Amino acid sequence: MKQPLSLHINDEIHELNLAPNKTLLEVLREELDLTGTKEVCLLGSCGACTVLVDNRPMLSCATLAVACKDKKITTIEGVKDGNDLHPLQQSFVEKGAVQCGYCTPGMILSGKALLDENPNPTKAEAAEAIAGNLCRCTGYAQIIDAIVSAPEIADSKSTKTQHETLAGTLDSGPYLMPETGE
Amino acid sequence: MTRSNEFAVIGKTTSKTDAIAKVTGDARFATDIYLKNMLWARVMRSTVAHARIISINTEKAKNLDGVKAVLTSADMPDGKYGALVLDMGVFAQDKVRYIGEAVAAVAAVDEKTAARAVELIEVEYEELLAVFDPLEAMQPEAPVIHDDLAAYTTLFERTERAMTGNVNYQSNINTGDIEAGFAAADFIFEDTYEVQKQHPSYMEPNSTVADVDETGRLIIYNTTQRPHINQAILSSLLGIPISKIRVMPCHVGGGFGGKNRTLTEPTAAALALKTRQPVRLTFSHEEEFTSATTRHSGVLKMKTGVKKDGTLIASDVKLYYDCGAYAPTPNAVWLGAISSSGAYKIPNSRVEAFSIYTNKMMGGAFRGYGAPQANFARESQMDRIARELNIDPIELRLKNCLVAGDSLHTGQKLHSVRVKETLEKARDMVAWQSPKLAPNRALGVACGIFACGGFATSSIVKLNMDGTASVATGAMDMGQGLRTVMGQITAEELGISSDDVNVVIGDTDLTPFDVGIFGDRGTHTTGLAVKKAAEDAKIQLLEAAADAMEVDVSALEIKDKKVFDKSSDNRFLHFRELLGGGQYKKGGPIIGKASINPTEQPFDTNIVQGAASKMFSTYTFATHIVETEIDAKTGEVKVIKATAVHDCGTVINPAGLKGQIIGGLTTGLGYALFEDVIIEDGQVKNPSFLECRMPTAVDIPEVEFATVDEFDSRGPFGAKGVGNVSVINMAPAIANAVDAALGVRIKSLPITPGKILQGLEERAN
Repeated sequence: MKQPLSLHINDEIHELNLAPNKTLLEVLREELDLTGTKEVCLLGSCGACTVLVDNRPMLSCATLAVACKDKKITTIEGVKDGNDLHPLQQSFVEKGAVQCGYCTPGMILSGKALLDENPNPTKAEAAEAIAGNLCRCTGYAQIIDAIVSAPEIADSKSTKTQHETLAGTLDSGPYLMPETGE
Repeated sequence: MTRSNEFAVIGKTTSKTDAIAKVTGDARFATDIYLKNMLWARVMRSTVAHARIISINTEKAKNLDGVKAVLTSADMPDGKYGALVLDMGVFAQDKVRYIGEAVAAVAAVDEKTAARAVELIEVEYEELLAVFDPLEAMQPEAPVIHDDLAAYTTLFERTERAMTGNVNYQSNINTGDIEAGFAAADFIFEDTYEVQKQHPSYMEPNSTVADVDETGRLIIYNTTQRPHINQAILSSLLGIPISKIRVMPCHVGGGFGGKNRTLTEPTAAALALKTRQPVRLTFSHEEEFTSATTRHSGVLKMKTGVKKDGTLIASDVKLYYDCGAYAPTPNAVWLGAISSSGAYKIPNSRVEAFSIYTNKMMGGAFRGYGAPQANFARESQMDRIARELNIDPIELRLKNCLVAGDSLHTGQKLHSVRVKETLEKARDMVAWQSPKLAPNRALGVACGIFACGGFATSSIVKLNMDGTASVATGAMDMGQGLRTVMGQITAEELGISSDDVNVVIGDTDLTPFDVGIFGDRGTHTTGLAVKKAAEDAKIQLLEAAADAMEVDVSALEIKDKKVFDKSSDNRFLHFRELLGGGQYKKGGPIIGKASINPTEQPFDTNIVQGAASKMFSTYTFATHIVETEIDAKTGEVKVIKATAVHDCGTVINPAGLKGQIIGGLTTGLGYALFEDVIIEDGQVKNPSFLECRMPTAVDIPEVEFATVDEFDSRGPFGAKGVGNVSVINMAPAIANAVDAALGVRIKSLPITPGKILQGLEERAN
């Protein structure tokens, strides 16, 4: 039996009609197409489905959607500020913390929860904060580095926009086009 | 001295081109593809280890509401596939050979319905005796797992002994005179080592969405290391031409060899063709641990003859690799055979390497491919030799290590070898005096060799009107950073910025053939094809400029997206002028291309029999030193620091290199200390990350790494690979540190607290 449920996700209210046994992960991915949150083990063992619920990291595979009523949910899609990357996202790019990218959304949300509480964490605190997020590619060192370096990027206010990659090195000036006879 | 000074783009840290899409959650993986009218597939799997299939009844499943199709082997063309031995059907044919083997598959309107339908499929089995141990499986009285082995198609040169009983593939090395070598030895060391199954544990499960487009072509969205081989295998298994199949890989959530495989594609494709609807098949987490592939477990016997001064003079190695019920990549034993001599010159060497069927889940490719097993044996035994001959472990290695111009025991002459320098640099970095540092605290060292590069690939480089470029390769990026490196190579060759290069990978409609990314061949081999294609485009561009400027090509040079007349700084043409106009003038648009196959030289058949390939392009080397502390009460090993020094040729992207080295040694750490897929009577006992855990952020040591200066003349801008060799040293280095600290030699992986406590107890008695 489906029930109406209102969820507050990434500063938007979503009015949904859901079976009460739906996990938050299922709702994000299948109802709302927020596929940045990844499904891996469904056992709460890998951290890939981590989202923030009232600013605390939660495993969305092990959280019922109905339990998130009246709470503020942040997924990876809601981390950037408009088109600007969050300093932590930029730090991940700069420190080589991204390889295959499948653990990355969960890592960033666990890291963000830490930074929101403790703006200048040590490496040991960063490692502790992501101890529940598995990564097979990186060996974690660059991820820990990215978390502890994020405050510097925030201070320097040098975050990039998501679309900076479009800039390239555009050569100005006209092309020599063929004479078409027109 | 670093050669990166000579380059504009090579050797400069370059952010991964796909990193922004991955930190925002925008990057789409195969698991993120949801198509309209998409059906969900589930696979019905064998619950017995070895049985003849008497009957399969799918009627109840077919009649369940919401079920659109049910397939068994009876619905498929009668084909088999595999890398060297074509032994596996999409579904079990006549027999099941392991618990977890695919017997049937269902497509339904949702996943729950598909799962319910799977439970309604009835299979009647006649159970057969099963065999789970590779040495038992080699006995003449062992149950035969593949009755028709002799009739299977093979893609290697068969030798008489290569395929008998449960042995599906064998390679041998015989160099020098093994009897004379042992006769001349002052000491002989003989040990047996055992290694476990390790799961690749890529985070993204195997997944395919198959669709049939409006023209009837099959479209595959998947997660793979080898799209072009997927396409060919689908063609042969489904009986449709390659031209009617498009494989469009998505971002790949980790591969490590585990996705150099074709697992979900044929099932999803057959169901999509049957229903004419998109079909999604994603492995469950449990299926990953029961029905995908792991690193081969096995038994390794090593006998080595040594002179008094520590010179290695003879080696006799037997490798028994358990490949499970099918042999998707039996040539892991061939790579094991190569690596079993270590990075050492051994004049008299014999290796017999067997890939053996058992009734267990399959052994397959996983980072290090056959070498972590062999290197654990070789490097553990080297330490034993050093200790018993009272020679410093690094001195013993330096005394025996290969140098450029030496031949490997396979007879292949090596041109790019800096293992000696990796040993010396690592020794200096840790200020090595002796292994033992304090009670329960010690250093352990290991070095190793891995075959790098080879096999067919090709590339196309297209110059755009504004002087930017597009490069296409059929290779894949599984997170290692191939996209970025191919962009850097193209940019360096053309004299443009890597931001100006669009890299197109994987899609079989848009890219030329690449055999797949494995064996440290991405940077070295695909990179070489990309460089040659860019060079071809550059030559055409220079010819167009020479024509326009009325000078000889030799008078021209490229800088900052301009072609200069070297004799006059003021005379130049923008790429934009040449391409914007030139595209329509002489010769037409510029497209550079290259096709290469660097694996062309065969091995000498007097030395090597049953080689799975011709000679590799080159070899990579590394030395790792670990500092460990062991809790003698609990037996727990803590790796405090790891120092890694690599000979990988020219470094293309330092950030990528760092990721490959630290990631590789972390996988090696898990292999050394705890990862173990445990199988009892054919049943996987720990099929999840909860029970079979990989290292977490709080398990990792501090890592310091470096490279040694080397320029491999066969690689693009002197580069070799690094992804595999970074895995192979951790297990022996840790075992050696444990022995140095406690006097306990662990010869089987993983090095668990239980084994250490047992070793301490035995030592005390």
